[in-house]
Amino acid sequence: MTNMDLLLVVILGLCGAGIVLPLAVEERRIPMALGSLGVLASIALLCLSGVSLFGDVSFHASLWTIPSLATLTLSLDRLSALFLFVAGLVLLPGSIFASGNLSAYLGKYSLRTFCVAYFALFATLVLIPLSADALSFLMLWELMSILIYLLVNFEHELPEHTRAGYLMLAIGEAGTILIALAFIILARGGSLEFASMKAIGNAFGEQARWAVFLLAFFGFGVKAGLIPVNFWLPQAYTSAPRPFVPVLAGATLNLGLYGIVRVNGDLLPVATVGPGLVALIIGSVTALLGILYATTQSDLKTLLAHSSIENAGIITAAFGAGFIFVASNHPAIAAIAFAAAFYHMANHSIYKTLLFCATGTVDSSVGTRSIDRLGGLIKTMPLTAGFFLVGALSIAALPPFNGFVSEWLTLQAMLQSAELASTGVKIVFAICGAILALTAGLAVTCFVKAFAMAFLGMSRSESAAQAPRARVSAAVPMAFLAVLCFLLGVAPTYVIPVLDGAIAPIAHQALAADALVPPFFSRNIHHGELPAGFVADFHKLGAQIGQSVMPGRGLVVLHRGTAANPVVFAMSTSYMAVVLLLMLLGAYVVFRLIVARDRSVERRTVWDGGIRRLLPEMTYTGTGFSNPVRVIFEAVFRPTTVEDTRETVGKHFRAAIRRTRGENHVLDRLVLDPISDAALWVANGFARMHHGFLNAYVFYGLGALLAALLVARLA
Amino acid sequence: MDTLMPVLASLNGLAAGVFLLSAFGLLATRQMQGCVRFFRLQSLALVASIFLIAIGMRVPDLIAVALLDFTIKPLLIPWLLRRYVREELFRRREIDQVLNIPSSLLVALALTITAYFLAVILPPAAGSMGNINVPVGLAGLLLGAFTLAVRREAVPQLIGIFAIENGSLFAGIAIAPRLPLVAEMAFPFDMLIIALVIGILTRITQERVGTTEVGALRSLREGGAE
Amino acid sequence: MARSIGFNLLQVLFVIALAPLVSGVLARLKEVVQSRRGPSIFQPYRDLRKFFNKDEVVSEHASWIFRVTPYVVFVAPIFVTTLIPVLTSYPLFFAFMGDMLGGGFVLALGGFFATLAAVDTANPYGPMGASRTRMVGFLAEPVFMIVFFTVSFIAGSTIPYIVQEHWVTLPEFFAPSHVLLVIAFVMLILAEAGRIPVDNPSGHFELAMIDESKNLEYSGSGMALMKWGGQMKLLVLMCILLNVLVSPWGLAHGQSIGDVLLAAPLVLFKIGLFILVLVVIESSLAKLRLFRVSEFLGAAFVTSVVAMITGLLRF
Repeated sequence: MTNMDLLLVVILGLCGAGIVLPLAVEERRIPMALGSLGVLASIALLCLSGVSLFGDVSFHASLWTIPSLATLTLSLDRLSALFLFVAGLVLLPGSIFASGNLSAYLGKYSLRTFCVAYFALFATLVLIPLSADALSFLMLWELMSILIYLLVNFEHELPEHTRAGYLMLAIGEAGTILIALAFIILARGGSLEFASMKAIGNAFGEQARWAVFLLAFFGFGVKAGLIPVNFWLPQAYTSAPRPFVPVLAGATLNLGLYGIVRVNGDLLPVATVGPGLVALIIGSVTALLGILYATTQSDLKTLLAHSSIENAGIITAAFGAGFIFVASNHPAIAAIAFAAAFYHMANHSIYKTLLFCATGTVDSSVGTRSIDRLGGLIKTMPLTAGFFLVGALSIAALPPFNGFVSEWLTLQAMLQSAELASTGVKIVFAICGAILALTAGLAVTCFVKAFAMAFLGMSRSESAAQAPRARVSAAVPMAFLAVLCFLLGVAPTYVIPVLDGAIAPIAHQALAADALVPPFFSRNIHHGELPAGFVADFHKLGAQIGQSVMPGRGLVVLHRGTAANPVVFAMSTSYMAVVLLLMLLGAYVVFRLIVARDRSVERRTVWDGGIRRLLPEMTYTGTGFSNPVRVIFEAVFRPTTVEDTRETVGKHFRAAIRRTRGENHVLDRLVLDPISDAALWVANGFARMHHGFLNAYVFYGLGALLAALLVARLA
Repeated sequence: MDTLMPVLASLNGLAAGVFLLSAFGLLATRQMQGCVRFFRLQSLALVASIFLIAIGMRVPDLIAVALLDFTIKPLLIPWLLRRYVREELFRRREIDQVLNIPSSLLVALALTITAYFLAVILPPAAGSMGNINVPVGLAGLLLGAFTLAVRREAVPQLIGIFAIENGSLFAGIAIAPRLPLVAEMAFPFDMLIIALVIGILTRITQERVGTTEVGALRSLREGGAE
Repeated sequence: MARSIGFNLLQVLFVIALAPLVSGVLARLKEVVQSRRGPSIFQPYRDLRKFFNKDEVVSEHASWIFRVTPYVVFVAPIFVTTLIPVLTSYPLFFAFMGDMLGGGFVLALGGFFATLAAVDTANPYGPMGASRTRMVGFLAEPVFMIVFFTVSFIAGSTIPYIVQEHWVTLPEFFAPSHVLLVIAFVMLILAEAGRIPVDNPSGHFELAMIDESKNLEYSGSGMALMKWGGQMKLLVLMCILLNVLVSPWGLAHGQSIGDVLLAAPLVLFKIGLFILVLVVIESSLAKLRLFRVSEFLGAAFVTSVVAMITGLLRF
């Protein structure tokens, strides 16, 4: 208990130092200070949350009471600990990366501001999952919005950054209002503390539950990046400065998800199927729209931003599936769905931070993020290319990396809808599953494009051909994250039991570890829960291999069914990775070293189809690569041709047509534009009343007074 | 017989599946010929289902209906269309549609799923074997109507009308397999007459105007010049 | 356990050794149906030997990705072989490494590297083919998913060994969901393996290629591995279709080596029948225009959804 207190004090102290120190040291030493303080604070954060997560230690502290409102309390359960741990995993490499990239801004922008805001945000990120009453939660939430705004708007001299920042702030505020309303409904019992809100949960009727769900879901959805309130996200991510984006993408998006889970899973658990369906459908559609726009982007940073929307959608869909299973009394399957969601959340934070770090490194080395201007970087920046490839493989959900495990688990959880009674819900599940599968297919396309077009082939610009290698301060965090991607990919049987503690309160059942990780390593076959024959069958297939080397329960993720259906699904990336590696080595030895040992390998110019010389401009571009997506989903993109400019040589010879195409985001078209039109219409009505006749204004006042009196009389 | 029943039921289900698929085909194919081909397939599936239900529920009357339907729908109607609608109409490259094909397929999927939920309001099938006929028939009906709505040419629209009829018959035989033979026979003959009338009409229009595209015909209405 | 390992190695050997033969028979039959003589059914083996005997020429722009890819493409179908029933009806050593869904992702890994390698060479036609392959790939994905959902709704599992047992009785075999599921999966095979009407495997015009243009820059043993990998992928997809989705008929039930060896000709016989179907399809259809592929896969999607609905609402 005291240890936890101490750790929290250490973290907050380090953050405080981070806020104070920059005011004292020289500006050029700030990056160093930021890096070292950030790393120390992250390690402390990892310890704090790790103790709780692995050791099942909870923590509770009442700070002080604000008369007539609430007692500000902090508490740490395993759900908060999970989010904190993931934040720590992101902040640790993120801080190193930030310190390395910050010096580029020296002299142009104030590094002091950055450092102060960074550590203030660090502290807020730590405190939000800890806060256990609505008042401190909302205050911290508000603080976080403002701090993120300050950091996103760091390069404030560029007008588009300021605009993106404003948009983010405005939408963020709207979200906060929705969240506050949700808390007001929840606080009907008179107390703002989460514990007492939870206690009166049963008193809520159907309508109040729906209200809380919708308010919280869409309120937190703003930060999580769900449709229809995510249009700020791509712009803000693109505008955010290089040192900050990895943390922005890896740590703050999760807080939106945390809010959704905390309110709808824990404080007032979803009790009917309806809200779950909303989450499932919104999540799937968010994922599809996110990846569609990601695939067609040519700016790497914007591409990654849209792909964050996609991942948030997948996670939300998994939460939705979990809510539905909870509401229809299938806690065991719900636990699988929540495990998938949390797993995917952790994975997304890690690979997205990795990809943003790699993109930032490319940006600082080459000076552009446009895929159409890059190319061939694998030769000039081999390390960065390798790390980006790991990130791309992970995010494209390819084995044996981490994205595969969580995506597979998500889809498997959805396939378990076979257990549900209602046919309608099953069909919704299947359609959402198909949407998610399409999303997965598009994600592969998207990241093939991102990696291949930026790193492979011919350099399309001079600066790409001479790009300097990544610096140590960038390579170290990337290496750390890439290793995490691999470890989370090959060791799911060690990760799932850890997630278990966070799942238990919201799924109403701990994922009895046997449900997903059967103890095949246990030497005691007569193990009680598993039938002996079952274990013996799997031992015959080799499920106990590695028993002597590896600790733990086993290396197979497996869900058991009924007697008729002994196994519902099974997978083992651990064995898969080893077997794949052995097979690759075997193929190499057989075919390269034995069969083709006398055959030479020559480097020659590439076959160019018979033209005189192949120029970089002649090769395929990223825009061309993703054009099929644009054509097939034209109904979504609805491109508009802005203008055709003809370039003519002489009178009759047309040299070229330059066609500018514009695109109106589908959300702008369907959601935002009608709303803004309506707002403008109302505003115009008011404008008409502002005609400048003083007497008329007095009449307005009189009218308002009369109306107020009449209302008071009638009521 | 008892061991045969499950097999008959699943064969009937298969016929229902083929029926539904060909309804989608009618909607999505680009060629006029393909359209007729899918209509044939759908009618054959219908005949198969009538036949299976006749055996399964022991309604000999239905066998007569099946035979009648077999001669009229897959054989006579295509022949009539070919005979009376100009040959070139059939050879024509592709049919125009109001909606593009993937979108109309998605709409059609939504219609099918809706049909499954709406099937509850219809009277239930007479025997457990024909249970699948009710929703599939309803879906066939809706899809036929949708085909009618999205197609621009006269012949595919005509086939859309036939598909509606096919759908109602498909559901009907399961709901009331013991309907008097006379009532059942009226349908196919009606269709014959429709095919004949519309076929002749189409032919005349085609000769006079040179097209049977419904949108293009609008400029012909009285008083509505240009 | 040793027996289990041995049988699984046997399955792998079966796929490695016979994949070129299957492609050879397919090519030959196609020619015969079109009233031509066609190459010997052993031609693919001769091609492979020829390629292995040649030196390799690699583009000066290519990186290690290009060199690694043939091995990944070669290994991915082999890996999937260990997960599915090729010869035996009972699971073999390490079959729990992945179910049908996981196997799909492993095959995607091979495809991922193949598309990367196509771009890696800086060949102007490579990325074109890569982009189109991805188009077919992502359009096929939802169909796969609905197939898995249908399988899961009916069989309650996505483990191939458990799924296959559900189609053995006669009413189940003729159930609409089963037949439609098979039709949808055949369409998927046509799309995934680059057969007509989605892609023409014997086309030689770069601008019209989908699958083949990714291999344009390969030569020597790299080319051999890419070709062999493609042939194995086709065979593996056929095995999933025939042994898991159609019917486990012919698979070995017994534990003895004789049973397993006997299963090989029976499975080959099934594959032969399917090749006939494939030949008929390929000879009677024309290759679709590129953006009509989405309509073809749309049709596959509709088929699979109808399969699912009829399966869900069986009475």
